[in-house]
Amino acid sequence: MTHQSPSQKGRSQSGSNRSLWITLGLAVLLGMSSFLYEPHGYFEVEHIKGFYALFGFVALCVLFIAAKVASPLLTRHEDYYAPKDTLSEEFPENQLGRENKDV
Amino acid sequence: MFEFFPPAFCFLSAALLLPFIPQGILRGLFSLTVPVLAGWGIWTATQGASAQTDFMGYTLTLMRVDGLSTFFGLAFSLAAFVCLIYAWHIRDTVQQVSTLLYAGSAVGAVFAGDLITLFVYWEGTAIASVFLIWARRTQGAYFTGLRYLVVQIGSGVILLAGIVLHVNTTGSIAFDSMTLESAASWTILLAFGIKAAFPFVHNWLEDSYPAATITGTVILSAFTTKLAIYALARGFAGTEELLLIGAAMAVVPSLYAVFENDLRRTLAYALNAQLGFMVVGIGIGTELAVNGAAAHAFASIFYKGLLFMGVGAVLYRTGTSKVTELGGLAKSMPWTMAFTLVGAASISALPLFSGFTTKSLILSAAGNAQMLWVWMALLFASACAVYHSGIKIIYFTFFGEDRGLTPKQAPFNMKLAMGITAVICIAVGVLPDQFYGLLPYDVGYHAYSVSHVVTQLQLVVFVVLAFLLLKNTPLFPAPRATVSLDTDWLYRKVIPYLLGHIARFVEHIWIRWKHDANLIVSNAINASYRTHGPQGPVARTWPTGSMVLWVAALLGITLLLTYI
Repeated sequence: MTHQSPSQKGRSQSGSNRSLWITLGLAVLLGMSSFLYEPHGYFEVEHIKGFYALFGFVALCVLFIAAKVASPLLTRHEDYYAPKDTLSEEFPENQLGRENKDV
Repeated sequence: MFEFFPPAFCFLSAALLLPFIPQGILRGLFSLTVPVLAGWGIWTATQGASAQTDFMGYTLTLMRVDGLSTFFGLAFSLAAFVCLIYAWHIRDTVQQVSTLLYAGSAVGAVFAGDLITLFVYWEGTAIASVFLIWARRTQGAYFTGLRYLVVQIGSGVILLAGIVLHVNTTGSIAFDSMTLESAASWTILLAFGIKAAFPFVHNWLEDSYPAATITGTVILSAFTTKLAIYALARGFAGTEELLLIGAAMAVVPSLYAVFENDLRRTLAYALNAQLGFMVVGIGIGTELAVNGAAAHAFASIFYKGLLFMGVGAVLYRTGTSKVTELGGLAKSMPWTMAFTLVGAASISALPLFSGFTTKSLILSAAGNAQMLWVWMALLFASACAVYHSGIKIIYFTFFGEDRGLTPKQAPFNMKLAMGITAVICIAVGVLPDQFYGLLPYDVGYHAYSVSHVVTQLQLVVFVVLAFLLLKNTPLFPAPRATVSLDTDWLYRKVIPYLLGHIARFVEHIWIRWKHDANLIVSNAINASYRTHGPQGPVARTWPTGSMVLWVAALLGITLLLTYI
């Protein structure tokens, strides 16, 4: 694992903040656009303003919580199935084209 | 020509010739002409049954050409073409031959007009494809390949059992629509279900695909499961049981895809979830829904292939595909990132990309049939796909924590294959009417309405927003260097553990029993030795005096008895 310099960290932090603000802006615009047209849907729920936005947001929260709860039960150390599993072994070097960018 | 020489034979005969062509450009070009030739053959084939031959009193139909088989045949040929470009740099004859045999078997199965031909090609896909796993040539891959082969051959054997029952009850070997009224059709459904990765029989997919070689995984992702989807669409369209199965398939693997550390395994789970959409489409069974299943199978072959290609290119250059070892590759592999982004946008169903125009057919069909819970499950799985196949793959590979990796760009052939696949993904999204024209049924459907575009954008953007807000909180399930326990845990840990205990118990009883039996036998021998041995009373020499005494006693008793 490489150590990030403070400036690198700062840069990635500001990049992350920027993408959050852009997404937030887009989300607000799309949320407001729900009021500009008459939705066509197959079910009653689709006529609720911002249903899809809310559904997407809540779905990911539910998924994250479920994964957070389930992962301790459903995960084990990488060597759990060794040696009869590929996850615990390195990818064969002779099948790789490991090359670094010219500096 | 193709009335006598089905397109599958192009692949199979080319596989036989391939080892005799020198490695390099010549062999590469030869391989590439095969799917082109087969694709042309499929495109120009006349509708109806042809290439028929008699076999043990039955008429086999090697070519049954209609809308459904043509569509899948073309999809497989195109997939084989891009896969072969992606694998251009491979100099391993085993992989090259098995790729052609595998693609050929899949194309052959799609055009099979009878169940016997289907069975032969069905097993062909199993046997040919396992070499793409074994070609990794490691101990882990060897064992994984064995597990894969047992399941795949098992599916074939179950199919054969189903066919025997089917022929016994109906007297026909024709492969047509079936209803779940007999044991035969249930058995055939199970065989199809194993290959389509139904819940509880799905885990061969997540176990084996990431264990294959880099190019092998891309090739594997295209054929087996989509062949099963074709078979289900042909045999079981409108089967209600598939609705629940499909909905469960779409939702449950999504959970695993979240915390899985290996990106190729994440994509395998995502692939399983996408198959759920297709199974639901087949379960609904209307023309729109079956069109949706076929269209989504096509889109899934290419966007999933593209994602596997992108992750494969990263693995090829860095030696890893694990979240915990990747990050910050955006600058060093920009083309790979751009192409992978197209795959991610397609699976996320962003407008102008393939998932948008294909997934909506199935969702609309569920809406038309007023299946609220099925529709909700699919919508939930769509939102999950935006995260695990869109955000997770892109963010953790190309952004996220910088691990100091500075790999070179992917090789040209990989970039070319990804480029072509990306164009296919965009073309399906941008030209839906032309694409729908290729589908098995003619249904008027318009994917681009203001409502559909806005609602889908809302779904995607709010998933992204939720991710950005949650990723630095304790709620975020960051992948760790772990292995996920799935149904394979049963046959890899629990059953061997139980069998081990049963074996030890039986061995214990056997040893105990043997010990007791030995004791009884040796006691008997000792006892007889004591009486009959050299020192035993029986072996003792008796004095003559006692003999005379006994004779006198006996005579006396006889005399007494005579007078009584």
